[in-house]
Amino acid sequence: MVAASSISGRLVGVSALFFFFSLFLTAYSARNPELGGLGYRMVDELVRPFQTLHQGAFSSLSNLWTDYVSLRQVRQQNKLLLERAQALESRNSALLEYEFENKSLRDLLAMKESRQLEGQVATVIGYDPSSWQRAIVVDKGSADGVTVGMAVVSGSGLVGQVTNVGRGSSRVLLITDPLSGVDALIQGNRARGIIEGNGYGACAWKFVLREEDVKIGDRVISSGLDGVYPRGLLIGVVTEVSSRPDSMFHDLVVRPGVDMEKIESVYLVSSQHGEGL
Amino acid sequence: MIRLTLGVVAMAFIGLVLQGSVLHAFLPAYLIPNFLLVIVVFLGFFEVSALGVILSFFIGLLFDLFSGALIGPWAGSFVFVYALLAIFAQRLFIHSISTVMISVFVANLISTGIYLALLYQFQPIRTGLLSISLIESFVSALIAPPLFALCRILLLSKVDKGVVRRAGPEIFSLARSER
Repeated sequence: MVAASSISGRLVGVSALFFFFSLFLTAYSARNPELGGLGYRMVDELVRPFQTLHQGAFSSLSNLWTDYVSLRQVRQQNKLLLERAQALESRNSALLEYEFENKSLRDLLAMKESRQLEGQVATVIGYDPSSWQRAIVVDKGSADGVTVGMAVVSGSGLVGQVTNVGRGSSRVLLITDPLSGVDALIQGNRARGIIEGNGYGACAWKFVLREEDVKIGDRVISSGLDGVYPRGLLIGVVTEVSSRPDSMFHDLVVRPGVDMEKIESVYLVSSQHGEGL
Repeated sequence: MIRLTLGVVAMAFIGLVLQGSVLHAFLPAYLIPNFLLVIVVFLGFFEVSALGVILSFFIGLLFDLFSGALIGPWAGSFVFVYALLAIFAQRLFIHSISTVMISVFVANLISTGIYLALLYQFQPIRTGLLSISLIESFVSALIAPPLFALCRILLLSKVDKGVVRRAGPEIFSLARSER
């Protein structure tokens, strides 16, 4: 016990000595700041190599980590951007559809107003499955007031006429079908004839006298004399002109103004302003 | 003795580099533990002698020199803490983790208080240091048990490792006298 007390006493004595020495050092270094700077430089020389080593290693690790994180972020961003691109592409496609539909309807409206037509717009919902007939199916029927014989037009010209009517849909025989016939004339010299479908997407213009001056590129319009189609609507453009020596008529081919394979909206004409059809 | 001295010096340098450079890259300053103080507490528990006082003074001096301000405040506070622990901790069961953590926590608060008191004699000190000191003490207390284990492996001889200083300084003195 005595030994322990002696150790404690010595310890306290030595500690007190060093503590007061510390106080002296503190006071001295406060009055002589250069001492602190000198001591710092000494310790710094010892510690700096380790700090430099650590800093270099840490920078490399930090760069590696930053690159890794960046790569992960780029991957996530790439995924997000791809999803966004797909969504935008889909939306863009829908907008293009709307634009196309809008243009089609605007053409129909313009034609309706310029020709003073009465009727209703219908959407093409099908085509004749047989390859022998050229016909389309539209989404308007007897419930909408559609009747057999109504003329069908589009913004680009004549399409055909209604041949069958269901409750909610109707069948339209196109002017390119061989069974179709339209009384037509050339817009310039008023030469007349009958437009019939040739079954290959074009029309044959029959019964045009050889004396008539017909040239390739002449615009052919409906005369309105057949009692089905409104007058003055574009049917197509003459693309071939020929005549046989033994015939009194031209052999003419007319390319329809309407692309029947791509038609989507049509106008079912019930009457022309001031006139019945 | 040589092993202890060299080991403490080496650990003090490593602690200084950790505290002053490495850990600053990962942690805010107030979350960096005071490794040097933990070593001083370890010395207060396991090296009750003049050498312990000198080593504590040296560690504090190193801290002061690296800080580049006044030379002496940390040295004085570490010596004070060391003496306090060397006297009172003889009655503690130091193999308990909780004892180690509480001792480091209290020692950190005391040393910071003494350091600030000494510093205040010569230059103004900023406010808000209490909360910082509490956090630092807590973090230091958290790392104390593993650091103590490391110190035991690196600094103590086989005889010292076998000593259980539960009954007070007598056993410790006997153990030392046997060496």
